[in-house]
Amino acid sequence: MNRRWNLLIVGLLICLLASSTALAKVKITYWTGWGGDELEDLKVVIEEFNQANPDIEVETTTIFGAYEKLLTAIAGGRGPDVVSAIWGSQLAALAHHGALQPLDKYIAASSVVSPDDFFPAIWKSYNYKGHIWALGATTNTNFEAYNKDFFREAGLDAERPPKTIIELEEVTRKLTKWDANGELTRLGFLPGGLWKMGLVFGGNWMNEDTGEITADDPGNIAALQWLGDFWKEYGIENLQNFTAGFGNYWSPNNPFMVGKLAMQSYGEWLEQFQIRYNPDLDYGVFPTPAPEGGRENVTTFGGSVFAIPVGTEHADAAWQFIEWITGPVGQKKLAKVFANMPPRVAVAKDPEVLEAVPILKFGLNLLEGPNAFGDLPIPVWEQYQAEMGRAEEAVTRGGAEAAETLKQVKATIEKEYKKLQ
Amino acid sequence: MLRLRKKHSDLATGLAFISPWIIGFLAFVLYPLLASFYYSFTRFNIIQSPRWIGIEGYAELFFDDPLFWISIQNTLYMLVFGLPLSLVVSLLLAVLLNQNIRFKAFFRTLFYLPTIIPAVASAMLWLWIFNPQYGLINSVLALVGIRGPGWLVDPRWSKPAFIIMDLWGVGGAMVIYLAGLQGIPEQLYEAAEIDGANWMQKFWRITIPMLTPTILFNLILGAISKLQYFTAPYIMTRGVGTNVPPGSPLNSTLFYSLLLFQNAFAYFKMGYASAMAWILFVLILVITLALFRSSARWVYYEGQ
Repeated sequence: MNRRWNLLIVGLLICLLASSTALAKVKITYWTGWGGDELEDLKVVIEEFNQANPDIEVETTTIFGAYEKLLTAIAGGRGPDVVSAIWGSQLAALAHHGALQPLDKYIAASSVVSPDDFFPAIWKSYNYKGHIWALGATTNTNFEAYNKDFFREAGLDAERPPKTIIELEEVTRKLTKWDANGELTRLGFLPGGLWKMGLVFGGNWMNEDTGEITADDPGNIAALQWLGDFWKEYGIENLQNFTAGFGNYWSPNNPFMVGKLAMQSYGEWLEQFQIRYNPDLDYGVFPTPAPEGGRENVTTFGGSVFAIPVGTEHADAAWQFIEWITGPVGQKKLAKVFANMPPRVAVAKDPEVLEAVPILKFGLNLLEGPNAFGDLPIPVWEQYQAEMGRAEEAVTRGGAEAAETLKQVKATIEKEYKKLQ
Repeated sequence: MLRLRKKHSDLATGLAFISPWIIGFLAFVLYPLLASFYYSFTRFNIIQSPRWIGIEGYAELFFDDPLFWISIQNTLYMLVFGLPLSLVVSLLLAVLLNQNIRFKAFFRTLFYLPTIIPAVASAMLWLWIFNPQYGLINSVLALVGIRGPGWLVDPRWSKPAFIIMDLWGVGGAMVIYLAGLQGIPEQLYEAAEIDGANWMQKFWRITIPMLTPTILFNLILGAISKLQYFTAPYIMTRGVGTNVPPGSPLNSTLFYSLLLFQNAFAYFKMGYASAMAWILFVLILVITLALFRSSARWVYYEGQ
């Protein structure tokens, strides 16, 4: 009889304990923009967090390619507890429109996160109107890659990539090939990306002190002019048709990997690309060449960031997850599986990380230099970039006049920006 | 008294039976409709509460947004050039497949098949067909010595490309025409044959007039779908390698719904997008009413 009672009590206690731990376990939903193989890698890293934090369970959902869902979900009060399907370029807009919770109080109380741990330019990019709205676990830098075999074939020094814009133009001409019918079979280089090229030509897109939109800065005009001249030299129709035959950038048919381009803009992922898609490729990298009076060693950086949307009941648990995945442990793991640049200085310089992803050394120099640029902290930045893209198209494909086109961009963005002030 | 109560309970029962629809209509159609009308007079980012700005949004659309007019032009282009072509081709197909030919059922299935392929999948497929270097169309053109255009990457050919692509999906209209054709009484043709009419005369004097209600139906449905053109260009017109939103090249495929979507979900301008939606609604209403009005002059109903 006595024994029976004992058993019963023990049994009850076990039940109670089990249920109380089950109650204490917080399930948080996490929406990511990573998909495919990267999503699988990410899930392995997240499982480690779940193991290490028995009181929290992170449920990962990918919304790859459907980022618009986030806005409607938040508006409907059904948003995730943590989201990283946000590009740095969207951060200011989301913060401005009240979609996110500021992280300041958590950061102030945290022993893991301190502003000094991050590259200064990157830390600044998490900031909008004096608050920190998100933290990154990864970022990326950009530069140019060149095919050494093609350099040798054209009689060029394979260890000496172009240093100036003039050299870049000359090398591009030498590396470009046409067939008997006058069709392009290989292009030396395809410049593009007006935001970065404007910076390379010494331009600025905004005066951050006065808030003035400076799309028609002489440097930006010169850059756009140069892009337009490039397209004219090779023929708009030729380039249009040739580039339309390019395979998806993020695939084995990437034009640099299959030899349709002798030089192409890349980031850290180049190393993984080469290993996966073309192991025989002999390549080198160099910073984007600048014209006289322009900026040397420019890189822009961006990438997805982790944030807590408004309306979640589990903000504290969400923060614990963000603190871990953007902390030294999480960043190191992600740097290795994604081969992305870590935003923390110590992780980026960690010998173990550099050994796993040697190309990071190159980006590191750019990121530590004076010409590393992040997204502009304005809520109309997405639209600004879209207008830049349209302007680039209008000048390169449509033969429009650079100065006039950029004046239009300035007017459009100024109007939109003013509405939000 | 008793009868009145009976009547009353009949009404209640009827309403109860239809209540799923009534509730659904009120909550998911009428309320959003009215709400979007209100939002169209506000600045609204869908997260914070809207701010009243009166007709400012409408005024900006009409007088200070070049993309709005570009998108209207592009959309009307599809309506004016694309729709008549689709209607003619689907009618011709229906007439051909209404003949007593071998493998009739097979061919009908074949031409209807594209309409059941998901829009996104067929968009991806056509992306390759239109590829200037490796695409099917340009390869065939090259066989006969023609250097095909850039299609989707060439602003002069991008809209014609979509018109060609739409011809592939005329199966839906074709099936409706087939039904209409089978509703034409056989004795009309027999009478015409006795009078010595040839097939041309039969087609123009019997088939077309008897089919006009079906043509009107397809015309209106087609007009509405062309005005709301979205999925294919959304998938197929992202600028390559740059941050150009859908609508490239050079805004030549920036259709109305694409611009609306961009404003609503990429730029946080839900109020502005609501104004666009109401302008589109009025445009569709006006065009539909005009088609109905005109139908009195060219549509023949049996018994008239």
